[in-house]
Amino acid sequence: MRTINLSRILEYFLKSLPNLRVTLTYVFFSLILGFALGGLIAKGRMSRNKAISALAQGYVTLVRSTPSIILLFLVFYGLSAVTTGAFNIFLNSLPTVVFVIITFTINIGASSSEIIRSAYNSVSKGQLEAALSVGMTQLQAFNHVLLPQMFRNSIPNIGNTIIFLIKEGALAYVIGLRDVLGQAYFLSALDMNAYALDMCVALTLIYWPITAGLEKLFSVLEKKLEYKHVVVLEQKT
Amino acid sequence: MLSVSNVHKAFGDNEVLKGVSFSVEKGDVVAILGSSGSGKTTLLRCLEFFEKADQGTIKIGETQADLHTASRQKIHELRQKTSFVFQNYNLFNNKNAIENVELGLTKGHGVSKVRAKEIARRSLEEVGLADRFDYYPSELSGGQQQRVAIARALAVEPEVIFFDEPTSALDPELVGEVLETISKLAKKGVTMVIVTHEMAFARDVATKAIYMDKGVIVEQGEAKELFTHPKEERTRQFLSRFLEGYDYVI
Repeated sequence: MRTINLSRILEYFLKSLPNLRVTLTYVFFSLILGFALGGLIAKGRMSRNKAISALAQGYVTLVRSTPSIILLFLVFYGLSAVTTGAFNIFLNSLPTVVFVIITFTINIGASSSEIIRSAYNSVSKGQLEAALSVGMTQLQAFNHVLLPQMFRNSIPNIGNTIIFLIKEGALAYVIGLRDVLGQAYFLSALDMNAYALDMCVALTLIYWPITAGLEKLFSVLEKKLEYKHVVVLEQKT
Repeated sequence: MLSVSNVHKAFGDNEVLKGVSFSVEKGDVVAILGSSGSGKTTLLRCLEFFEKADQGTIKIGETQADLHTASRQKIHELRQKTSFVFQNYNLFNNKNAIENVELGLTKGHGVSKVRAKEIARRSLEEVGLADRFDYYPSELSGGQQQRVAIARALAVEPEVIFFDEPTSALDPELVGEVLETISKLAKKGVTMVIVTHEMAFARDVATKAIYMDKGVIVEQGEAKELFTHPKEERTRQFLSRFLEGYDYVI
């Protein structure tokens, strides 16, 4: 029977940890681009134009019913196939992480559109009218009144999305991404996967504190942004 | 100063406004009275372009616009000359009291931050909230919220302030403080158009009164005159309950 070995766990841990930088790279870009896309999709879904609304709805349904791993393969192989066939452009030289970012931008684009839509609906539209009535433009009203409240109301969901990305993105090892998990798998393969369990324990020890830390961070952030006045204590003289 | 003519508005088959015209002079306090469903609120919302009227024109000072076809630019221009006090206050929940007042000044009217703070302070003091500058809407009572909303509307120095049933959402014991605030503005000569169910307030504070029923103006004139000698039978009926001083005792 195999036993786990602490020093081997430590070795996997230390050798995989630097690749956290890859994980953070795709999380950061997928999040930003995904939410930008999600904003557009949400706007499309709330459009009065039926065709645009149906198109946005269709996108969300389609992407949500595609498993991330399939989407990864579709983007990795499909995108190159299309560009090669149609434009004779070869994408082979692009770093793998780019494909991962594209995949999760598509993915987060769908799920974040729902987050953004519910955040928008959570802010009373009377405030928009109030902003207009004191001479603000639609854009000013959105930026200064609606958006901050939408952000505040969706903090838990944004936190969940980041945690989802960190974990789900690990799947990208199947297309050869060397993020934390990809690196650990690579090292494990060098050992003929003899110590796979040690590797898994090491990975768990990396993912757990990150996720727990993020959870804490977002709950603190949510509290911080509560709209309450700060009591300034009179200075004693 | 403000004139409105021939406003029509229908929601589907339901004709809510059937050609409403009236005018307001500087310093007037106009009370719009009428039972629920008579179109008072819709009228006010059409004038602020929150609802798109089917027909009609509005003129404020020298700026004139068609209520149906006005361009975005024109609407913005007119909104800068007016402000609006809502039934349910509609304060910006992410801003405290003083920021609520400042925002319209800095963003909506291009007033400098320093100057805006000064004006906001003064406006809040005027509505009796000098001790509530840094309180958020969620921490204020309904009456206080509505007074912040009045300060916000007042601060931008509009030519006219529209009030849409400003006390209807308030607990009875909080109505007084808001009406008192509005009376104070009336004495200062602020031009206001007020949709209200507070009859005694309308009689005592308004200079003009308009009685609406089923989408038309039945009668309009000097407030005192309309309350004491209504010309139309329908007005008389509407006012009778109030004038006879019925009290409901359970």
